[in-house]
Amino acid sequence: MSLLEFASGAAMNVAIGVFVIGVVWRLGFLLRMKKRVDKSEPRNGSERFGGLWMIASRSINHGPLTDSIKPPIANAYLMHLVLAIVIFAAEAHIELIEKTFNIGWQHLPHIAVRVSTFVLLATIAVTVYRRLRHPVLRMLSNFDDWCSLLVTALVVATGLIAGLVDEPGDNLIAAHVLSFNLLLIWFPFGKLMHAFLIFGSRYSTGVAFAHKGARI
Amino acid sequence: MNDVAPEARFDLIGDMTDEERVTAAMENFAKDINRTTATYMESCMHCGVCAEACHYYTQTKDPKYTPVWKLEVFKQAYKREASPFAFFYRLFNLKKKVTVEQLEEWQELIYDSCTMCGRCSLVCPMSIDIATLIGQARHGMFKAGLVPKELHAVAQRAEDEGSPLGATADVLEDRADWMADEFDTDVYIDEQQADILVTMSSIEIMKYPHAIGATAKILNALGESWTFRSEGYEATNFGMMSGNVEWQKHSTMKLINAAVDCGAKLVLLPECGHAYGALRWQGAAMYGKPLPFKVQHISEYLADVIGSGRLKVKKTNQAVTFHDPCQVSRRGGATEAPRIVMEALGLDLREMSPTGDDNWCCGGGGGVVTIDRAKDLRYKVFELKMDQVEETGADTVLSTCSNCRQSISDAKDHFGWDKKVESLLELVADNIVEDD
Repeated sequence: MSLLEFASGAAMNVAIGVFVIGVVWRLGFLLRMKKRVDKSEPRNGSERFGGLWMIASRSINHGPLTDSIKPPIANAYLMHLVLAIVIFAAEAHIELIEKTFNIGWQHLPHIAVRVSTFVLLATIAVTVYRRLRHPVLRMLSNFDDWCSLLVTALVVATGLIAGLVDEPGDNLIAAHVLSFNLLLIWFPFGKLMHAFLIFGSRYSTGVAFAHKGARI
Repeated sequence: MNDVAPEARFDLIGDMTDEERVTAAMENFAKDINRTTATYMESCMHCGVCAEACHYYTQTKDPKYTPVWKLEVFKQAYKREASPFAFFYRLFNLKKKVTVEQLEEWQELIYDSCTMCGRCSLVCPMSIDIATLIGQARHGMFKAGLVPKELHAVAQRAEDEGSPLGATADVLEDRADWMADEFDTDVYIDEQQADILVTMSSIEIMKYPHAIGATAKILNALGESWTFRSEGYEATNFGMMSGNVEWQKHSTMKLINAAVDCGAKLVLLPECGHAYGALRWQGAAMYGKPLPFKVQHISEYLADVIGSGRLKVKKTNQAVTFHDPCQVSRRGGATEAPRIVMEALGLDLREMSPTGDDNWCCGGGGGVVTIDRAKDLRYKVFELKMDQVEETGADTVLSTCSNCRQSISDAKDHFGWDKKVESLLELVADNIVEDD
């Protein structure tokens, strides 16, 4: 068995298993917890809409922020934008999705994906730099933050190298797949789960604020 | 960096061992963990954005005042004891047991440097309601006897005497008689039946009694059927602010029972921010079912009666700025009500920047104004409010919260500031157009 066969076979099966079980366990654990029922008279009756609106609006309206926080927020936007491009517009990724789920779409030119991948890596570097330099972030940062950044950067870096080579060898692709497996295994345990938790957290606050008629 | 160091970092109430304090803190914090609060605990990205929205951090640049950091020990306890992967955290000791030393250190962050104003919730990318979690943390801290002594003392007094400032029913009656004379109006106490149960904050009864006369004058001008009830008139809830849920419930139930006894259709809350949160939004939880009456903050009531044309007021060209009480506007949803009233009064309203839901806290909410060791930090934070007011060019600050009014007045005296602080309620009462 080659390294690539191992990475995309047994290792990936294990990684997907950990990912699925971990995510289901973490979300299921939260969903099983008692739900707070607010018996106070609502100001208006649009609580569910408020929850959904908060999910959308908090991506646009960041409230009363000082100018100093705007550049890192812009960096976070850029990171997620190019991440989406790299995941969903790279030819190799679309082929994999098509093979697995039987649905595909047109990929972006390689150069666009390469630039996006490079920008993605740069935004991760900026995040690391800021986490090391800013007193608040230095204080807040823990193993979860560094591990999440590391596993993400590994996937992006190996993908960038593989994308830059005309004919990437099996070992290079295997390194990319293995790093992706590592990310899948870490995902349920750390802050990468914000990809799912963001919906619950924002929705809960949106419902509570809508109940009071407070601004969402 | 912060150059304001409190003289004493923590107080210890009661005789308990360190282990008992930790257990009490954790058990009472854990009682309130539900799906929403657990989701919040799981969701923090450590992005630090909340720091930029907190008046304590922006004024001191001390990272420890980052709102979500104020919850760090409780997050640590949650992860270890109650989170989805608590087993792993305990097995590998990834999160250590919380110690009493940590809780003592965090007392300042949970009480002295958080007014639960909720401004951080507006900017959090995950929309975590940090103020709610701080309130929950206070439940644990109170039971562990890790509450600032002054806040504990006023909460204890409220539980024992019915008022944190000694505003007993007899005192209310005296003040009511005085204000009836002063305003040449009737003040009703202990009417058997009334449509409106009127409540006051102890700050108003003791320091700003004109609120009693102003409220009476307005309600009488409208021909309302209303009363104070000596068994339930005190709207402040230091049980809630200090973190004692039982005392919070006692205070709330006094108002609910008084309203039920006189058949009130409306409980009118005074110019007090946290009183609004305590009854309007948390009252039903204390009662265990929906309240059998409506609850309004006085500014909402005034907006309704003025907006509908029932109460007519004279125009005044006074230049004012308005301080939004956090618990009424940002966290209460009644941001527009005072503005409707101010527009009717024809005031030259010079809004602060930022204003409304985004306005900065006065720094005195959440019981902070009672904590003596926190006063230097409170004054430091208040400089932000002074700058906001100065930029408007207005000489008068209006508010609809007596606690904000007291905090602003106290800081005004401290700084020798030349601005006036007034009540919107009293301004309305002074400008009623009486029918012939």
